[in-house]
Amino acid sequence: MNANTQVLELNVEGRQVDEAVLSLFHTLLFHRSTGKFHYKNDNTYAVGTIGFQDVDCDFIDFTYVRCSSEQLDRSIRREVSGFCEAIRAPDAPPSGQVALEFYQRKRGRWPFATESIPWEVWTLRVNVVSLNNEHERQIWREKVGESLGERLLRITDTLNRHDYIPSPPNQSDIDYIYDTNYPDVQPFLFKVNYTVSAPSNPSTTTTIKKLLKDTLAL
Amino acid sequence: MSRSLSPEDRRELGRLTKILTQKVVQVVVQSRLGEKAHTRSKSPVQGSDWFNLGIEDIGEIQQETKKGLGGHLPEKGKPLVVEIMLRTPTLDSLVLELWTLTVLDACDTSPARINPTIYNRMTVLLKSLLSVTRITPAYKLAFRQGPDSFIICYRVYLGDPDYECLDLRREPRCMSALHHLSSRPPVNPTLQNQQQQPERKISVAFVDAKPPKPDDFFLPDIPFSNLLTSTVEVQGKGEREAAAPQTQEKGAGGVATVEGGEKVAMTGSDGSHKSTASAQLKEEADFVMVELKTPFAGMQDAGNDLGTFYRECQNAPQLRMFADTPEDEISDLTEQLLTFEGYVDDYNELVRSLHSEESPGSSQ
Repeated sequence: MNANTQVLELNVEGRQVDEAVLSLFHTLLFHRSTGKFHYKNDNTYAVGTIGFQDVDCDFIDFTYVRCSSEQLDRSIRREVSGFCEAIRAPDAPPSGQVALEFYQRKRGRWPFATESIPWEVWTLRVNVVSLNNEHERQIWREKVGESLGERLLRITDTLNRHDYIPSPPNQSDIDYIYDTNYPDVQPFLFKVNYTVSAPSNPSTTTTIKKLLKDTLAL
Repeated sequence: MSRSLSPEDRRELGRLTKILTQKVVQVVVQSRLGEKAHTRSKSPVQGSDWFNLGIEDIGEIQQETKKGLGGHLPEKGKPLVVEIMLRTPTLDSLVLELWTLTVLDACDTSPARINPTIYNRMTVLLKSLLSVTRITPAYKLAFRQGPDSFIICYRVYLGDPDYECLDLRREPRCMSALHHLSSRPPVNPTLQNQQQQPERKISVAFVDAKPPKPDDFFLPDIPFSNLLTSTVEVQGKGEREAAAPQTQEKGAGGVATVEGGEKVAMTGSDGSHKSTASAQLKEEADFVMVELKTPFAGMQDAGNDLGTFYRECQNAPQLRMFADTPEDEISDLTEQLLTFEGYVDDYNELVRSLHSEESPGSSQ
């Protein structure tokens, strides 16, 4: 099964990385969570309610909505913080990418273990910019807010296209689809992974290619 | 492959559409109250909510929605419209946003069932609406409401949205399209938002005396060359003046005429205001130099301005060496010349003696 893969690019200041990533990941988790299931029998269940709350960013002119679940918030913050620390390290390259992957588990046939199959992957390519003064920071604060608004619209466009979503499972299989560890909400199984790497230089590559072509043409 | 809906499905779809309509209005209007939303998550045993979302209904909004719908549902050609507008203490108003829930004439062939598929899609639509209502400028504006500045009002109705009251330079954004299996009549609720340019709403809302009309907001673009060569007539009727800073000081019904620099007349309703530009133009009768605030001429570096340079050349000051020379110094020079003339014979004798002394040497 091919996972629905989306890539979004962000140019942010070092101190804005946490909020920029969290605002989009929380928006995704808000859409990809349900209320808690309460099974009456194996395939009949009642669904709880997702509360929501507005969150204002400190370093970006932006407000987003997230699930009212402190545990889910703590969990996603913990996952994202590793990436933020890595990209803000003194000798770190100025770009990296962090992905939120929704997956489902499938029982493997003996002797194989359970396998995880991603069905939707959201990758954020983050470029860290450095600014010279407070005036530039003020402008950037608004610019990043507008940029996040555009990214959020793309997210909602995509999520409302109704691509593949795992079907609600029977009670015995619920842990193969949803993360049931949270007491108040029930997100689809998800994980965060990241890489921090030096950016490739396309202009150099292009120049070398051109040189080779010219040489061959001679 | 499409199939027609069973009466039961149709009834269920109508019911869900009705609830969705009410929730859409609640989400949009509540996001413009200028309050931070915070609702709690609940387990099923604590009670269930429509679309499993903690959207707490406000009775007044519900009443207005019922009134606006008049017992009908959005249908093709008759969308639900939630109009968000700003109103000042002087009852001036400006439409900021139009949120529409539209039923389109299109058909989807995916095997979608009313419940739970359509129900879940409506849930996603409401979640998207909750997220998107936070990113438009009206959300931030709602927190600045106050009895002395402005308040935000809303109106709910079924019918064609009045796009003319908005800035059409922005394309409406379609947020979602819900499809379901049906052959007759197909129903695709889509949610659109169109919004006013933020800078316009600020500048107009506090000046205008009447509800503004977008066509009259701005004066037509006039090339700079026209300002110098031909007659430009600007006629304002209250609404135009609100958006045109150059006519604001004249009062209602003002007419400003600038003719080739020879005659400048500004006739307001009271006739008492004259612009500072007109006084300068009268002084320089033979040529007009209007000081344009060109973008490349810095505000503090007025010395570079072409107009200033021209005026400085036209009224060139006296050369400093003449201005500073004292008169007694000139009279001393005259006396000195007369004295020298009195000794002319002596100077001639000296020159001759020098010539005679050099003669023997020259003959060698």
